[in-house]
Amino acid sequence: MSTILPFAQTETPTNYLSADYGWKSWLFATDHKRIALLYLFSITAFFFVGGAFAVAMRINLLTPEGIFTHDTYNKLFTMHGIIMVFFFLLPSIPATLGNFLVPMMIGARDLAFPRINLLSWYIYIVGGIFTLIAVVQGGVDTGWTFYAPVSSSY
Amino acid sequence: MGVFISGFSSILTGLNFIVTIHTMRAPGMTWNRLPLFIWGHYATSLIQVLGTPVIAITMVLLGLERLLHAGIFDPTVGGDPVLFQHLFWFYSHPAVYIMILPGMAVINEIVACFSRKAIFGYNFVAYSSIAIAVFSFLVWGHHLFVSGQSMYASMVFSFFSFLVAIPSAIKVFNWTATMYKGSVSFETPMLYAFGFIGLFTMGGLTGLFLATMAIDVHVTDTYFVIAHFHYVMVGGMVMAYMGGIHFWFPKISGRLYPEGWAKFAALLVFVGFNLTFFPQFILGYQGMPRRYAHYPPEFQVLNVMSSAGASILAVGYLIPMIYLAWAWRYGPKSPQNPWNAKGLEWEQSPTPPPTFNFDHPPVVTEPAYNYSGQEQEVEIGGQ
Repeated sequence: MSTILPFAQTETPTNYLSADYGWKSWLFATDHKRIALLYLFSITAFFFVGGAFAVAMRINLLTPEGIFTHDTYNKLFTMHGIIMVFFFLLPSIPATLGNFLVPMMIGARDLAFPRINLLSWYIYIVGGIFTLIAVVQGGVDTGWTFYAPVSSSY
Repeated sequence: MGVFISGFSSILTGLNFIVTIHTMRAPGMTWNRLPLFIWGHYATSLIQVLGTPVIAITMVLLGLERLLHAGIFDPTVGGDPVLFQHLFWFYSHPAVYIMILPGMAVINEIVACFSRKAIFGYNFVAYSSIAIAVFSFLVWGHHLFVSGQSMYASMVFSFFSFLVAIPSAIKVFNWTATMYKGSVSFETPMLYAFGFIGLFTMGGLTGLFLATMAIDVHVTDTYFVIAHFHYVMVGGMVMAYMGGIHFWFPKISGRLYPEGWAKFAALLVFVGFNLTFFPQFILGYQGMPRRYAHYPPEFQVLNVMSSAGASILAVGYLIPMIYLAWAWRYGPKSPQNPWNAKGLEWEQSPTPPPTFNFDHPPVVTEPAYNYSGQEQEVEIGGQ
C-alpha cells in the first residue's frame, strides 16, 4: 500500500546545482556558490589563454634565433603577464574557493552583498573582454609592468 | 583599460568578504574559532580594498598621459618615469600577497585535514596573515633598486623585504609542526600541499636573495627574477589552487574525482614545473636577461630543458581539466564528508550544498580543527 506524500519528494534533495536550470538562472544568480562556479569557468578559460602565450614563448626560446620577431615576442610576454596576473592569479582562489566557502565556513547563508558579488563577476568579464580586444587589435608590447615612458608615448 | 576595470571587481569582492566575516558569523563562531582559511581571506581582502585603488589611479594617469601628453611620466615634457614605477609597484607588490595569502589559506585547511591534527600555533598563523598584509605595503621599492632610487631608500626597502619574509616563514614552520606526530595521508590535495610547501620555500628564499641589494644588482631583470616569481606563484599559488580544487571538489560537485589520475597529474605538474623553472635560476645567474626574444647560443641547452619542462607542465594541467569535467557528470557520488574533515562546510552542510547552505543554522561549540575531539570546557545544560 503506497502512501501519497503531501508534496513531491525527489530522490536527492535540492541542491544549489539543481535548484534552477537554464542560462538565465546562472547569469543572474545571486547564490555565492553559483557565482563561484561562473568565476571558476572564466578563470580557467583565461588560464589556458595565458598558457597558450607561454607555450608560444617557450617554443620561440628553443633556438637562439627564435621564430618570432622582437615585436611579436614583446607582445607575447606582455599578454602572458597581463592575463595571468590580472585575470587568473589575482582572482583565482578568492573568487572561486573564497566565494564558495567563506559563507559556509562561518555558518552564513550567503555573502553580505550577493548582488554586488554578481556585479563583481560582470566587471571582471568586461575587463577581460577589453583585454582580449587589445590582443586582437595587435597587442600591447610594453611588458605587463607598463613602464613609462614607453607605455605613455607610443 | 581592461586592468582598470577588473580592479573594481577585486575591490568589491574584498569589501564583500570583510563585511561578511565581520557581521555574518554563526552563533558561537568567535574570531578564535574561525578556520585559518577565513583569516587568510580576511587579510587578502584588506589588501584588495586598500591597494587596488592605487593601480586604478595609475592606469588613469597613464591614460591621461597618452591622451594629453601632460608630462606626468614623460621626461621630455617634464615628467618623471620613476614616478610611474613607484605608483605601479605600490599596488603590484601587495598584489602578489593578494595572490599568495589565499594559497596559504587553502594549505592550512589541507594540512590540518590530512595530518588529522589542528594547525600548530593557530594564533601565530592568524596574526601572521595580518602581518603579511600590513608589511606588504612597505616593500615596493625592492622593484626599483636599479632605477636610480636613493641608496638609503633602497636599504630601507631591503630591510622591510627581509621582515616580510618572517611571517611567511612562521607559517611554513607551523605547517611542518602540524605534520609532526600527525597521522599523515597522501591523497591528491596533500600531494599538492607538499609541493606548495617545498616550492614556495624555494621561491621565498630566492626572494630574499633578490631583496639583498648586492645580489639584486647582478640578477635583476634576468631569468633569475622570472624563476623566483614563478616558483612562488606557480609552484606556490597554482599548486595551492589545484589542491584546493581537488579537496573541495566533492563538496562543490557532489562527486568524487578519480584519485589515480589525479595523483599522476600532480606528479607531472611537479616534475614539469621544476624542469621548466629551475634551469631559469641558472640562466639568470649566468646573465640571460628577461624579455629577450633571441639569446646567445651558450644559453641554448638550459632553454631547451626549460621548454621541455613546459610541455610536461602543460600536459599536467590539461589532464585535470579532462578528468574533473568527466567526474562532474559521471563520477561516483560523494558522501557528505569524504575526507572526514572538520569544519562547518563539511560537517553541517549537505554535499552538494542547498542554495542557502545549511538545512538548519549551525551553532559552533568546538574550536577550529578539532581533530582530537576535545570538547569545549563549558557544557551547557548538562545534568
